[in-house]
Amino acid sequence: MSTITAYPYLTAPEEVWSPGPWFYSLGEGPRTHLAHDFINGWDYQAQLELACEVAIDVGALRSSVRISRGHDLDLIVLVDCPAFRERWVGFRAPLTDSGEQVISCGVSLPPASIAERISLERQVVLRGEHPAPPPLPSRKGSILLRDARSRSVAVEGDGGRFPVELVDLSAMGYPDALWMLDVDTSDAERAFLAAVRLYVNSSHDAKSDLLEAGTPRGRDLVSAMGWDVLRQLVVRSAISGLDVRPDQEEGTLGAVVWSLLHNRLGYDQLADIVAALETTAEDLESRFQSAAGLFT
Amino acid sequence: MSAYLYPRLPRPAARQLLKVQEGLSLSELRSAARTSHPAAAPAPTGGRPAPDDVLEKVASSVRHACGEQWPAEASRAQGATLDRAVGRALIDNLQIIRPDAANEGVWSFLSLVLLPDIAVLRFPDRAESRLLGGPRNVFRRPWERRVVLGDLADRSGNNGQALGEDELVNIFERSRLARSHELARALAENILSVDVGNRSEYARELTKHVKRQLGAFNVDVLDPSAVRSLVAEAGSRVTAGP
Repeated sequence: MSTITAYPYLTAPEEVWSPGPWFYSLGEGPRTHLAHDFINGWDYQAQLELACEVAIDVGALRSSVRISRGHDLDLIVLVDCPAFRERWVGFRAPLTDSGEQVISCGVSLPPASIAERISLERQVVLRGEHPAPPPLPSRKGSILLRDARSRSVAVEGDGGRFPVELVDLSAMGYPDALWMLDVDTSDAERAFLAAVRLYVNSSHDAKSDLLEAGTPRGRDLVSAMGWDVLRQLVVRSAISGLDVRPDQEEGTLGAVVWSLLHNRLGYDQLADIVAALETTAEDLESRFQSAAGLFT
Repeated sequence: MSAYLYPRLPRPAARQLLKVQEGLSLSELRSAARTSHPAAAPAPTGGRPAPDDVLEKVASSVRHACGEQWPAEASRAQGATLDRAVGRALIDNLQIIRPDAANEGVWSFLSLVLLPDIAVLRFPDRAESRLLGGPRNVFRRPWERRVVLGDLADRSGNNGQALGEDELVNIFERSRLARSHELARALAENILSVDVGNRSEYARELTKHVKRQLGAFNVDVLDPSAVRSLVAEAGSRVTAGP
Protein backbone atom coordinates (compact mmCIF):
# COMPACT_ATOMS: atom_id res chain seq x y z
CA MET A 1 0.00 0.00 0.00
CA SER A 2 1.05 3.65 -0.25
CA THR A 3 3.66 5.47 1.80
CA ILE A 4 2.79 8.52 3.87
CA THR A 5 4.42 11.90 3.43
CA ALA A 6 3.94 14.65 6.02
CA TYR A 7 5.02 18.15 5.05
CA PRO A 8 6.29 20.43 7.82
CA TYR A 9 5.13 24.03 7.84
CA LEU A 10 5.99 27.24 9.66
CA THR A 11 4.51 27.69 13.11
CA ALA A 12 4.51 30.80 15.28
CA PRO A 13 6.91 31.37 18.19
CA GLU A 14 5.53 31.37 21.75
CA GLU A 15 6.52 35.02 22.22
CA VAL A 16 3.56 36.21 20.14
CA TRP A 17 1.01 35.22 22.76
CA SER A 18 0.51 35.02 26.44
CA PRO A 19 -2.08 32.48 27.48
CA GLY A 20 -3.36 33.33 30.96
CA PRO A 21 -4.29 31.06 33.87
CA TRP A 22 -7.52 29.07 33.94
CA PHE A 23 -10.44 29.82 36.28
CA TYR A 24 -13.54 27.74 36.93
CA SER A 25 -16.96 27.99 38.49
CA LEU A 26 -19.54 25.34 39.34
CA GLY A 27 -23.20 26.30 38.87
CA GLU A 28 -23.79 29.64 40.55
CA GLY A 29 -20.60 29.23 42.63
CA PRO A 30 -17.72 31.72 42.77
CA ARG A 31 -15.08 32.02 40.07
CA THR A 32 -11.99 30.21 41.38
CA HIS A 33 -8.43 29.98 40.14
CA LEU A 34 -7.76 26.50 38.78
CA ALA A 35 -4.63 26.04 40.83
CA HIS A 36 -4.63 22.22 41.04
CA ASP A 37 -5.17 19.42 38.58
CA PHE A 38 -8.58 18.62 40.01
CA ILE A 39 -11.94 20.28 40.62
CA ASN A 40 -13.76 19.51 43.84
CA GLY A 41 -17.53 19.35 44.04
CA TRP A 42 -18.35 18.44 40.45
CA ASP A 43 -21.01 15.81 39.83
CA TYR A 44 -23.15 14.73 36.90
CA GLN A 45 -25.71 17.47 37.57
CA ALA A 46 -23.20 20.31 37.79
CA GLN A 47 -22.66 22.97 35.15
CA LEU A 48 -18.93 23.67 34.85
CA GLU A 49 -17.65 26.93 33.40
CA LEU A 50 -13.98 27.41 32.54
CA ALA A 51 -12.43 30.70 31.57
CA CYS A 52 -9.11 32.31 30.76
CA GLU A 53 -7.68 35.28 28.91
CA VAL A 54 -5.27 35.07 26.02
CA ALA A 55 -3.32 38.09 24.81
CA ILE A 56 -2.03 37.82 21.24
CA ASP A 57 0.17 40.08 19.18
CA VAL A 58 -1.74 39.29 16.00
CA GLY A 59 0.55 41.34 13.76
CA ALA A 60 3.63 39.46 14.98
CA LEU A 61 1.83 36.14 14.70
CA ARG A 62 0.72 36.78 11.11
CA SER A 63 4.15 37.97 10.14
CA SER A 64 5.88 34.94 11.71
CA VAL A 65 3.79 32.49 9.67
CA ARG A 66 3.49 34.84 6.67
CA ILE A 67 -0.26 34.88 6.63
CA SER A 68 -1.48 38.32 5.67
CA ARG A 69 -4.68 40.04 6.74
CA GLY A 70 -7.76 38.74 5.02
CA HIS A 71 -6.92 35.12 5.80
CA ASP A 72 -8.91 33.96 8.77
CA LEU A 73 -7.31 32.69 11.93
CA ASP A 74 -9.17 31.43 14.99
CA LEU A 75 -8.24 31.03 18.60
CA ILE A 76 -9.86 27.83 19.84
CA VAL A 77 -10.02 25.80 23.02
CA LEU A 78 -10.02 22.09 22.38
CA VAL A 79 -11.73 19.97 25.04
CA ASP A 80 -10.76 16.30 25.22
CA CYS A 81 -12.52 13.77 27.42
CA PRO A 82 -10.85 10.35 26.99
CA ALA A 83 -13.35 8.61 29.30
CA PHE A 84 -16.14 9.75 26.99
CA ARG A 85 -14.05 9.04 23.91
CA GLU A 86 -14.94 12.49 22.69
CA ARG A 87 -13.05 15.62 21.72
CA TRP A 88 -14.57 18.90 20.60
CA VAL A 89 -14.00 22.63 20.12
CA GLY A 90 -15.29 24.25 23.31
CA PHE A 91 -14.57 27.84 22.35
CA ARG A 92 -13.73 29.68 19.14
CA ALA A 93 -13.00 33.35 18.43
CA PRO A 94 -11.70 35.00 15.25
CA LEU A 95 -8.43 36.91 15.35
CA THR A 96 -8.23 40.45 14.04
CA ASP A 97 -6.15 41.48 11.04
CA SER A 98 -3.44 43.13 13.12
CA GLY A 99 -2.56 44.72 16.45
CA GLU A 100 -2.78 43.37 19.97
CA GLN A 101 -5.87 41.41 20.90
CA VAL A 102 -7.01 40.18 24.30
CA ILE A 103 -9.58 37.40 24.09
CA SER A 104 -11.69 36.16 26.98
CA CYS A 105 -12.19 32.46 26.43
CA GLY A 106 -15.15 30.71 28.02
CA VAL A 107 -15.89 26.98 27.90
CA SER A 108 -19.31 25.82 29.12
CA LEU A 109 -19.60 22.18 30.06
CA PRO A 110 -23.25 21.33 30.71
CA PRO A 111 -24.29 18.66 33.24
CA ALA A 112 -23.42 15.10 32.19
CA SER A 113 -21.22 16.25 29.30
CA ILE A 114 -17.89 15.07 30.77
CA ALA A 115 -16.50 12.35 33.03
CA GLU A 116 -13.35 11.44 34.97
CA ARG A 117 -10.87 13.88 33.46
CA ILE A 118 -10.72 16.49 30.72
CA SER A 119 -7.85 18.23 29.06
CA LEU A 120 -7.91 21.74 27.64
CA GLU A 121 -5.64 22.99 24.90
CA ARG A 122 -5.56 26.47 23.38
CA GLN A 123 -4.61 26.66 19.72
CA VAL A 124 -4.46 29.21 16.92
CA VAL A 125 -5.61 27.54 13.72
CA LEU A 126 -6.08 28.45 10.09
CA ARG A 127 -9.83 28.68 9.47
CA GLY A 128 -9.82 28.61 5.66
CA GLU A 129 -7.52 27.42 2.91
CA HIS A 130 -4.43 29.60 2.42
CA PRO A 131 -2.94 28.89 -1.00
CA ALA A 132 0.81 29.01 -0.43
CA PRO A 133 3.82 26.84 -1.22
CA PRO A 134 5.61 24.86 1.50
CA PRO A 135 6.79 25.59 4.12
CA LEU A 136 3.95 28.07 4.62
CA PRO A 137 0.81 26.71 6.29
CA SER A 138 -1.90 26.26 3.70
CA ARG A 139 -4.47 23.70 4.83
CA LYS A 140 -7.62 24.52 6.69
CA GLY A 141 -7.17 23.41 10.30
CA SER A 142 -3.36 23.84 10.34
CA ILE A 143 -2.23 24.48 13.92
CA LEU A 144 -0.04 27.60 14.03
CA LEU A 145 0.39 27.90 17.79
CA ARG A 146 -0.64 25.74 20.72
CA ASP A 147 -0.22 25.45 24.47
CA ALA A 148 3.14 23.94 25.31
CA ARG A 149 1.23 21.43 27.44
CA SER A 150 -2.48 20.83 27.52
CA ARG A 151 -4.13 21.43 30.91
CA SER A 152 -5.41 18.17 32.35
CA VAL A 153 -8.03 18.36 35.10
CA ALA A 154 -9.71 15.56 37.06
CA VAL A 155 -13.36 16.07 37.86
CA GLU A 156 -13.99 12.71 39.49
CA GLY A 157 -11.96 10.80 42.08
CA ASP A 158 -11.00 11.32 45.70
CA GLY A 159 -8.10 12.49 47.82
CA GLY A 160 -4.83 13.29 46.08
CA ARG A 161 -6.42 12.44 42.76
CA PHE A 162 -5.50 8.82 43.28
CA PRO A 163 -8.57 6.63 42.96
CA VAL A 164 -9.06 5.19 46.45
CA GLU A 165 -12.12 3.23 47.51
CA LEU A 166 -13.10 1.74 50.86
CA VAL A 167 -14.16 -1.91 50.57
CA ASP A 168 -14.47 -4.78 53.01
CA LEU A 169 -11.51 -6.98 52.07
CA SER A 170 -12.50 -9.52 54.76
CA ALA A 171 -15.49 -10.40 52.58
CA MET A 172 -12.97 -11.39 49.93
CA GLY A 173 -10.91 -13.54 52.27
CA TYR A 174 -8.24 -10.99 53.22
CA PRO A 175 -9.27 -9.74 56.70
CA ASP A 176 -5.73 -8.66 57.67
CA ALA A 177 -4.79 -6.93 54.41
CA LEU A 178 -4.87 -3.15 54.79
CA TRP A 179 -4.94 -2.29 51.10
CA MET A 180 -5.19 -3.92 47.70
CA LEU A 181 -3.96 -2.39 44.46
CA ASP A 182 -5.75 -3.33 41.28
CA VAL A 183 -3.98 -2.44 38.04
CA ASP A 184 -5.47 -3.23 34.66
CA THR A 185 -2.38 -3.52 32.49
CA SER A 186 -4.22 -4.54 29.32
CA ASP A 187 -4.02 -1.09 27.69
CA ALA A 188 -1.28 1.51 28.18
CA GLU A 189 -3.43 4.18 26.48
CA ARG A 190 -6.15 3.87 29.10
CA ALA A 191 -6.66 6.75 31.55
CA PHE A 192 -4.60 6.11 34.67
CA LEU A 193 -7.59 6.96 36.85
CA ALA A 194 -9.61 4.24 35.18
CA ALA A 195 -6.87 1.61 35.03
CA VAL A 196 -5.78 1.77 38.66
CA ARG A 197 -7.81 1.36 41.80
CA LEU A 198 -6.54 1.34 45.38
CA TYR A 199 -8.88 -0.38 47.80
CA VAL A 200 -8.49 0.25 51.54
CA ASN A 201 -9.93 -2.39 53.87
CA SER A 202 -12.92 -0.85 55.65
CA SER A 203 -12.86 -3.58 58.31
CA HIS A 204 -9.18 -3.13 59.26
CA ASP A 205 -8.39 -1.40 62.57
CA ALA A 206 -5.60 0.68 61.01
CA LYS A 207 -7.74 2.20 58.24
CA SER A 208 -8.42 5.41 60.20
CA ASP A 209 -4.71 5.95 60.83
CA LEU A 210 -4.01 5.37 57.16
CA LEU A 211 -6.71 7.66 55.81
CA GLU A 212 -6.17 10.52 58.24
CA ALA A 213 -2.38 10.23 58.30
CA GLY A 214 -2.08 12.84 61.05
CA THR A 215 -0.37 10.54 63.56
CA PRO A 216 3.20 9.20 63.37
CA ARG A 217 1.71 5.75 62.74
CA GLY A 218 -0.52 7.16 60.02
CA ARG A 219 2.44 8.83 58.30
CA ASP A 220 4.38 5.55 58.40
CA LEU A 221 1.43 3.67 56.96
CA VAL A 222 1.07 6.18 54.13
CA SER A 223 4.79 5.96 53.46
CA ALA A 224 4.65 2.15 53.34
CA MET A 225 1.62 2.25 51.09
CA GLY A 226 3.34 4.73 48.74
CA TRP A 227 6.34 2.43 48.43
CA ASP A 228 4.14 -0.60 47.84
CA VAL A 229 2.03 1.17 45.21
CA LEU A 230 5.12 2.40 43.33
CA ARG A 231 6.66 -1.07 43.42
CA GLN A 232 3.49 -2.89 42.37
CA LEU A 233 2.70 -0.47 39.57
CA VAL A 234 6.12 -0.76 37.99
CA VAL A 235 6.70 -4.47 38.55
CA ARG A 236 3.25 -5.53 37.41
CA SER A 237 3.49 -3.31 34.33
CA ALA A 238 6.89 -4.82 33.54
CA ILE A 239 5.79 -8.42 33.99
CA SER A 240 2.67 -7.92 31.88
CA GLY A 241 4.74 -6.37 29.06
CA LEU A 242 2.87 -3.04 29.11
CA ASP A 243 3.78 -0.93 26.08
CA VAL A 244 5.26 2.16 27.73
CA ARG A 245 6.73 5.08 25.76
CA PRO A 246 7.70 8.68 26.56
CA ASP A 247 5.31 10.10 23.92
CA GLN A 248 2.15 8.63 25.39
CA GLU A 249 -0.68 10.99 26.11
CA GLU A 250 -0.64 12.72 29.49
CA GLY A 251 -2.86 11.06 32.07
CA THR A 252 -2.67 7.60 30.53
CA LEU A 253 -1.40 4.55 32.43
CA GLY A 254 1.55 4.34 30.03
CA ALA A 255 2.57 7.96 30.60
CA VAL A 256 2.39 7.61 34.39
CA VAL A 257 4.37 4.37 34.45
CA TRP A 258 6.98 5.78 32.07
CA SER A 259 7.36 8.85 34.26
CA LEU A 260 7.85 6.70 37.38
CA LEU A 261 10.27 4.45 35.56
CA HIS A 262 12.34 7.23 34.06
CA ASN A 263 12.13 10.08 36.55
CA ARG A 264 11.90 8.21 39.84
CA LEU A 265 13.81 5.00 39.20
CA GLY A 266 16.25 6.02 36.47
CA TYR A 267 15.40 3.24 34.00
CA ASP A 268 14.57 3.69 30.32
CA GLN A 269 12.42 0.66 29.66
CA LEU A 270 10.30 -1.84 31.55
CA ALA A 271 12.40 -4.69 30.19
CA ASP A 272 15.21 -3.41 32.45
CA ILE A 273 12.97 -4.02 35.44
CA VAL A 274 12.31 -7.61 34.39
CA ALA A 275 16.05 -8.14 33.92
CA ALA A 276 16.83 -6.53 37.28
CA LEU A 277 14.29 -8.76 39.04
CA GLU A 278 16.19 -11.77 37.74
CA THR A 279 19.75 -10.59 38.26
CA THR A 280 20.09 -7.65 40.66
CA ALA A 281 16.88 -7.74 42.65
CA GLU A 282 18.51 -6.34 45.81
CA ASP A 283 19.61 -3.22 43.92
CA LEU A 284 16.17 -2.80 42.39
CA GLU A 285 14.40 -3.17 45.75
CA SER A 286 16.69 -0.55 47.30
CA ARG A 287 15.93 1.78 44.41
CA PHE A 288 12.21 1.36 45.04
CA GLN A 289 12.65 2.22 48.73
CA SER A 290 14.82 5.19 47.92
CA ALA A 291 12.53 6.50 45.16
CA ALA A 292 9.51 6.23 47.42
CA GLY A 293 11.32 7.87 50.35
CA LEU A 294 10.25 5.01 52.59
CA PHE A 295 9.72 6.28 56.17
CA THR A 296 11.55 9.55 55.50
CA MET B 1 -36.99 10.19 28.61
CA SER B 2 -35.44 9.67 32.09
CA ALA B 3 -31.78 8.82 32.38
CA TYR B 4 -30.43 6.62 35.12
CA LEU B 5 -27.39 5.77 37.19
CA TYR B 6 -26.49 2.07 37.13
CA PRO B 7 -25.02 -0.07 39.92
CA ARG B 8 -21.20 -0.20 39.89
CA LEU B 9 -19.51 -3.48 40.69
CA PRO B 10 -16.04 -2.87 42.23
CA ARG B 11 -13.17 -4.64 40.49
CA PRO B 12 -12.29 -7.05 43.36
CA ALA B 13 -15.92 -8.20 43.55
CA ALA B 14 -16.00 -8.51 39.76
CA ARG B 15 -12.90 -10.71 39.83
CA GLN B 16 -14.49 -12.89 42.48
CA LEU B 17 -17.60 -13.31 40.35
CA LEU B 18 -15.40 -14.26 37.40
CA LYS B 19 -14.01 -17.13 39.46
CA VAL B 20 -17.42 -18.20 40.74
CA GLN B 21 -18.87 -18.25 37.21
CA GLU B 22 -15.87 -20.00 35.66
CA GLY B 23 -17.43 -23.43 35.28
CA LEU B 24 -21.08 -22.46 34.83
CA SER B 25 -22.94 -23.34 31.64
CA LEU B 26 -24.96 -20.78 29.69
CA SER B 27 -28.22 -21.91 31.25
CA GLU B 28 -26.70 -21.90 34.75
CA LEU B 29 -25.45 -18.37 34.10
CA ARG B 30 -28.93 -17.34 33.02
CA SER B 31 -30.35 -18.74 36.26
CA ALA B 32 -27.67 -16.90 38.24
CA ALA B 33 -28.47 -13.51 36.62
CA ARG B 34 -29.75 -10.88 39.05
CA THR B 35 -30.71 -7.22 39.12
CA SER B 36 -28.58 -6.56 42.22
CA HIS B 37 -25.36 -7.61 43.95
CA PRO B 38 -24.36 -6.94 47.57
CA ALA B 39 -21.14 -5.18 46.52
CA ALA B 40 -22.71 -3.09 43.74
CA ALA B 41 -24.20 0.38 44.23
CA PRO B 42 -24.86 3.35 41.96
CA ALA B 43 -22.87 6.59 42.32
CA PRO B 44 -24.14 8.33 45.47
CA THR B 45 -24.89 11.65 43.76
CA GLY B 46 -25.69 12.95 40.33
CA GLY B 47 -28.93 11.30 39.29
CA ARG B 48 -31.62 8.70 39.78
CA PRO B 49 -30.62 5.05 40.27
CA ALA B 50 -32.10 2.66 37.70
CA PRO B 51 -35.05 0.87 39.32
CA ASP B 52 -35.43 -2.90 39.07
CA ASP B 53 -38.02 -2.72 36.29
CA VAL B 54 -35.61 -0.72 34.10
CA LEU B 55 -32.82 -3.24 34.77
CA GLU B 56 -35.20 -6.09 33.91
CA LYS B 57 -36.22 -4.34 30.69
CA VAL B 58 -32.58 -3.89 29.68
CA ALA B 59 -31.91 -7.56 30.35
CA SER B 60 -34.96 -8.79 28.45
CA SER B 61 -34.32 -6.52 25.46
CA VAL B 62 -30.72 -7.72 25.14
CA ARG B 63 -31.79 -11.36 25.51
CA HIS B 64 -34.49 -10.83 22.91
CA ALA B 65 -31.92 -9.27 20.52
CA CYS B 66 -29.77 -12.40 20.93
CA GLY B 67 -32.73 -14.78 20.68
CA GLU B 68 -31.72 -16.30 17.35
CA GLN B 69 -28.21 -17.04 18.57
CA TRP B 70 -29.22 -18.57 21.91
CA PRO B 71 -28.08 -21.10 23.11
CA ALA B 72 -25.32 -21.65 20.53
CA GLU B 73 -22.13 -19.84 21.51
CA ALA B 74 -21.19 -17.20 18.94
CA SER B 75 -18.43 -17.99 16.49
CA ARG B 76 -15.96 -15.27 15.45
CA ALA B 77 -17.93 -14.76 12.23
CA GLN B 78 -21.20 -14.31 14.11
CA GLY B 79 -19.71 -11.84 16.58
CA ALA B 80 -20.18 -8.65 14.55
CA THR B 81 -23.86 -9.42 13.86
CA LEU B 82 -24.48 -10.13 17.52
CA ASP B 83 -22.69 -6.92 18.52
CA ARG B 84 -24.93 -4.89 16.24
CA ALA B 85 -28.04 -6.43 17.76
CA VAL B 86 -26.77 -5.90 21.32
CA GLY B 87 -25.71 -2.31 20.55
CA ARG B 88 -29.19 -1.50 19.21
CA ALA B 89 -30.92 -3.00 22.25
CA LEU B 90 -28.65 -1.13 24.65
CA ILE B 91 -29.03 2.24 22.93
CA ASP B 92 -32.80 1.84 22.93
CA ASN B 93 -33.17 0.70 26.52
CA LEU B 94 -30.21 1.56 28.73
CA GLN B 95 -31.07 5.26 29.19
CA ILE B 96 -27.82 5.72 31.07
CA ILE B 97 -26.52 9.09 32.28
CA ARG B 98 -23.63 9.54 29.91
CA PRO B 99 -20.77 10.06 32.41
CA ASP B 100 -21.97 7.00 34.31
CA ALA B 101 -21.18 5.00 31.17
CA ALA B 102 -17.52 5.98 31.57
CA ASN B 103 -17.31 3.96 34.80
CA GLU B 104 -16.06 0.41 34.37
CA GLY B 105 -18.03 -0.85 37.39
CA VAL B 106 -21.29 -0.21 35.51
CA TRP B 107 -20.25 -2.45 32.63
CA SER B 108 -18.89 -5.13 34.98
CA PHE B 109 -22.30 -5.15 36.62
CA LEU B 110 -24.03 -5.63 33.27
CA SER B 111 -21.76 -8.45 32.12
CA LEU B 112 -21.31 -10.33 35.41
CA VAL B 113 -24.54 -9.70 37.32
CA LEU B 114 -27.36 -8.67 34.98
CA LEU B 115 -26.48 -10.54 31.77
CA PRO B 116 -23.71 -13.10 32.44
CA ASP B 117 -25.38 -15.57 30.07
CA ILE B 118 -25.28 -13.19 27.09
CA ALA B 119 -21.73 -12.09 27.90
CA VAL B 120 -20.51 -15.69 27.60
CA LEU B 121 -22.78 -16.40 24.61
CA ARG B 122 -20.86 -13.64 22.77
CA PHE B 123 -17.41 -14.44 24.16
CA PRO B 124 -17.35 -18.16 24.94
CA ASP B 125 -13.61 -18.01 25.79
CA ARG B 126 -14.62 -15.80 28.76
CA ALA B 127 -11.61 -13.51 28.35
CA GLU B 128 -11.30 -11.24 31.37
CA SER B 129 -11.08 -8.10 29.23
CA ARG B 130 -14.53 -8.89 27.80
CA LEU B 131 -16.23 -9.59 31.10
CA LEU B 132 -14.69 -6.86 33.25
CA GLY B 133 -15.95 -3.36 32.49
CA GLY B 134 -12.96 -1.88 30.62
CA PRO B 135 -13.06 -0.49 27.06
CA ARG B 136 -13.23 -3.99 25.51
CA ASN B 137 -16.20 -5.09 27.62
CA VAL B 138 -18.78 -7.20 25.78
CA PHE B 139 -21.53 -4.56 26.21
CA ARG B 140 -19.53 -1.35 26.50
CA ARG B 141 -17.86 -1.72 23.13
CA PRO B 142 -21.03 -2.13 20.99
CA TRP B 143 -22.79 0.59 23.02
CA GLU B 144 -19.95 3.08 22.44
CA ARG B 145 -19.73 2.22 18.76
CA ARG B 146 -23.47 2.77 18.42
CA VAL B 147 -23.27 6.12 20.22
CA VAL B 148 -20.69 7.32 17.70
CA LEU B 149 -21.86 5.67 14.48
CA GLY B 150 -25.64 5.57 14.98
CA ASP B 151 -27.36 3.82 12.08
CA LEU B 152 -24.10 3.62 10.13
CA ALA B 153 -23.38 0.57 12.29
CA ASP B 154 -26.19 -1.27 10.44
CA ARG B 155 -25.57 0.03 6.94
CA SER B 156 -24.31 -2.33 4.24
CA GLY B 157 -21.39 -1.22 2.12
CA ASN B 158 -20.71 -1.50 -1.60
CA ASN B 159 -19.73 -5.11 -1.12
CA GLY B 160 -23.02 -5.86 0.64
CA GLN B 161 -21.33 -6.21 4.02
CA ALA B 162 -21.77 -4.04 7.12
CA LEU B 163 -18.60 -2.89 8.90
CA GLY B 164 -16.68 -5.91 10.13
CA GLU B 165 -14.86 -6.32 13.40
CA ASP B 166 -11.42 -5.60 11.91
CA GLU B 167 -12.66 -2.40 10.30
CA LEU B 168 -14.34 -1.20 13.47
CA VAL B 169 -11.24 -1.96 15.51
CA ASN B 170 -9.20 0.23 13.15
CA ILE B 171 -11.50 3.16 13.81
CA PHE B 172 -12.18 2.68 17.49
CA GLU B 173 -8.95 1.34 18.90
CA ARG B 174 -7.04 4.29 17.47
CA SER B 175 -8.60 6.41 20.14
CA ARG B 176 -7.44 9.76 18.72
CA LEU B 177 -9.55 9.06 15.66
CA ALA B 178 -12.64 7.88 17.47
CA ARG B 179 -12.64 10.82 19.89
CA SER B 180 -13.63 13.00 16.96
CA HIS B 181 -17.06 11.52 16.30
CA GLU B 182 -17.39 13.35 12.99
CA LEU B 183 -14.12 11.83 11.82
CA ALA B 184 -15.10 8.34 13.00
CA ARG B 185 -18.36 8.59 11.02
CA ALA B 186 -16.54 9.91 7.95
CA LEU B 187 -14.11 6.97 8.12
CA ALA B 188 -16.96 4.50 8.47
CA GLU B 189 -18.83 6.00 5.50
CA ASN B 190 -15.69 5.97 3.39
CA ILE B 191 -14.90 2.34 4.21
CA LEU B 192 -18.47 1.30 3.42
CA SER B 193 -18.42 3.08 0.07
CA VAL B 194 -15.07 1.87 -1.20
CA ASP B 195 -14.75 -0.72 -3.93
CA VAL B 196 -11.54 -2.64 -3.27
CA GLY B 197 -10.58 -6.29 -3.05
CA ASN B 198 -9.55 -6.34 0.59
CA ARG B 199 -11.63 -3.82 2.52
CA SER B 200 -10.04 -4.62 5.91
CA GLU B 201 -6.57 -3.88 4.58
CA TYR B 202 -7.87 -0.66 3.01
CA ALA B 203 -9.40 0.37 6.38
CA ARG B 204 -6.10 -0.26 8.15
CA GLU B 205 -4.14 1.91 5.71
CA LEU B 206 -6.80 4.61 5.63
CA THR B 207 -6.88 5.06 9.40
CA LYS B 208 -3.09 5.05 9.50
CA HIS B 209 -2.94 7.86 6.88
CA VAL B 210 -5.52 9.98 8.65
CA LYS B 211 -3.94 9.52 12.07
CA ARG B 212 -0.58 10.73 10.77
CA GLN B 213 -2.16 14.05 9.83
CA LEU B 214 -3.65 14.76 13.23
CA GLY B 215 -0.46 15.99 14.89
CA ALA B 216 -0.10 19.25 13.00
CA PHE B 217 -3.61 19.50 11.79
CA ASN B 218 -6.80 19.99 13.79
CA VAL B 219 -9.63 18.01 12.29
CA ASP B 220 -12.00 19.11 15.06
CA VAL B 221 -12.29 22.64 13.64
CA LEU B 222 -13.47 21.42 10.24
CA ASP B 223 -17.08 21.25 9.15
CA PRO B 224 -18.47 17.78 8.30
CA SER B 225 -17.99 18.17 4.55
CA ALA B 226 -14.33 19.15 5.01
CA VAL B 227 -13.80 16.12 7.26
CA ARG B 228 -15.25 13.90 4.55
CA SER B 229 -13.01 15.49 1.93
CA LEU B 230 -9.96 14.90 4.10
CA VAL B 231 -10.86 11.24 4.51
CA ALA B 232 -11.65 10.87 0.80
CA GLU B 233 -8.28 12.39 -0.07
CA ALA B 234 -6.50 9.94 2.23
CA GLY B 235 -8.55 7.12 0.69
CA SER B 236 -7.44 8.12 -2.80
CA ARG B 237 -3.82 7.99 -1.72
CA VAL B 238 -4.33 4.52 -0.27
CA THR B 239 -5.92 3.13 -3.42
CA ALA B 240 -3.32 4.86 -5.63
CA GLY B 241 -0.62 2.85 -3.89
CA PRO B 242 3.03 3.76 -3.28
